[in-house]
Amino acid sequence: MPEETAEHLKEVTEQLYKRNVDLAVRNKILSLLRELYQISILTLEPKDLATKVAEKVQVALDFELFGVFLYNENEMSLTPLGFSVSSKFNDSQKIQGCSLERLTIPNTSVIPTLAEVIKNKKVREISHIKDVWGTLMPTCDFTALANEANIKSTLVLPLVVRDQAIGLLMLCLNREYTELSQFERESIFNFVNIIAVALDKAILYKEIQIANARLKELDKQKSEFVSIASHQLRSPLTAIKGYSSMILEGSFGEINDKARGAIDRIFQSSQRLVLIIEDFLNLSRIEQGRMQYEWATIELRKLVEGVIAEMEGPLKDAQLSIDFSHDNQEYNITADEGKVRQVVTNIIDNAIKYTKHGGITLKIKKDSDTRKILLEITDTGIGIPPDVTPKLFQKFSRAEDAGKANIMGTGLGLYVAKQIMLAHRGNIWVDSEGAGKGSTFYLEFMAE
Amino acid sequence: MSTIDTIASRIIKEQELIIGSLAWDEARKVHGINVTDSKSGQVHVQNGDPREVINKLVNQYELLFGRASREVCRQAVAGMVSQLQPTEVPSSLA
Repeated sequence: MPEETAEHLKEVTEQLYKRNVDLAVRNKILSLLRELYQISILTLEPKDLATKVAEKVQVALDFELFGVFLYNENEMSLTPLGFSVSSKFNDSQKIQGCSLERLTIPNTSVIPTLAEVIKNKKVREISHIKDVWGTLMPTCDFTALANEANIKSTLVLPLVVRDQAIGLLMLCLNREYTELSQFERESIFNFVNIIAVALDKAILYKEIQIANARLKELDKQKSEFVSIASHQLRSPLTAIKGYSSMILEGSFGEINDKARGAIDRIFQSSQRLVLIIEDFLNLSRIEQGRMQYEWATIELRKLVEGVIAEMEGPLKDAQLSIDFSHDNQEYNITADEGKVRQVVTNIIDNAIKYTKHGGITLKIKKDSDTRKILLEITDTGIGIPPDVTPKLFQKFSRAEDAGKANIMGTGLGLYVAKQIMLAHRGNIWVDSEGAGKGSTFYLEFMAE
Repeated sequence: MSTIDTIASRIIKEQELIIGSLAWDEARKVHGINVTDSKSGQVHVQNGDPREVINKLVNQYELLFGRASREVCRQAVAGMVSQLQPTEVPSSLA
């Protein structure tokens, strides 16, 4: 090969090598970032996350020490969250009797470099590690530690999220920062943001977990309180209802009309209170998983007819019509009769309460393919605005107009109905074209 | 593996990231480098002064790829070299 061509070939090879070096650096950075990203999505506990990240970066970049610190703004302190050191640093710590891993830095304001990193969110180099830990561990010979662990420089980088320093990274290197390779320098500035965001996410997750546990505990206490209070109220109420009923029936002799009117109001009010207490008791039973079901084969059409018959009085008082269309066939389901009756009664009772004119229509049909039975209860009442529909089956959800219309209720009826339907492997939902356009409630059951 | 074995292994692996399996082929040509398992990176430095073997390994790459390859070798093991006594450091990595 002519000398000129050989020289040219060598030049081309060297150029290609340099380009490959660039690519290799990028590959290594991407690979490290991918590993850090995986840690960040698989680890939700802040300390665990910081420890894994510290171990990964310390090994990948041959640092003598890699520390992740969390900043407490009120105390101005730095708590070590994740710490990873080289075996040389570890050995040296043992010889010098130092243990930096659990050492909180109580007041960063007295360490100017740390205070500046936190305040200005800028990277700074520390001249010696004893500037950070010296006063906290006077027994440790930091000069010997740094020499034995071959620490040539220490970098401090802020972990910034939402323009606030939530902590910092401390990196002890066995070289001067200027001697770091392109890969090492680029890696440091790439992973610092990933660590900051991952740590922030993990801290938020932990805070949510704590808040959630607290809410669950409060909810449990509330359920227990409601249960106890409801049970304690039930006995005296039974007495009030029973005696007022006996007085009205003349068991204690004749009473005048004025007294009758007053006692009738006591009786009606106590009856309403009994229903309210029953709602609360049902709520606590559901939330504590104590709702008991007595399963049997029941015929749904007959049950609905029975409920309609029971509601004749209130329907007449409200001057509303009712129509139940069916094809006379049997609609057998496995269910708790009392609970299903409670659901159907609740829906018809609501329809009466929220309908001023018109009436209520019921339809029942069975889909022979899916073996599902659908009971539709349609009213010509106040309807339901679209934004209210999704909340309707939640606890303490009431129609906005209920208060204005002086309609009594706890807002628990539909929540309890939904839970009962779900326990029957069925469902309940509502359709309404909006306010003033009536509503249709659908009760879906599995046929036997 | 001894520190010098680890240094040789690290250099070859770093070159492998850039030039692929050719890095192992070139390492095998160096007298004193015994590649026992290229997959796991098992390398033994034997025969004579280990510093000289490392120098030869670095020169092998430099001969083919120029000055840039020497810098790659140096940076790949900078952390480890710092742990050695100055007299133990191969001149190509100083």
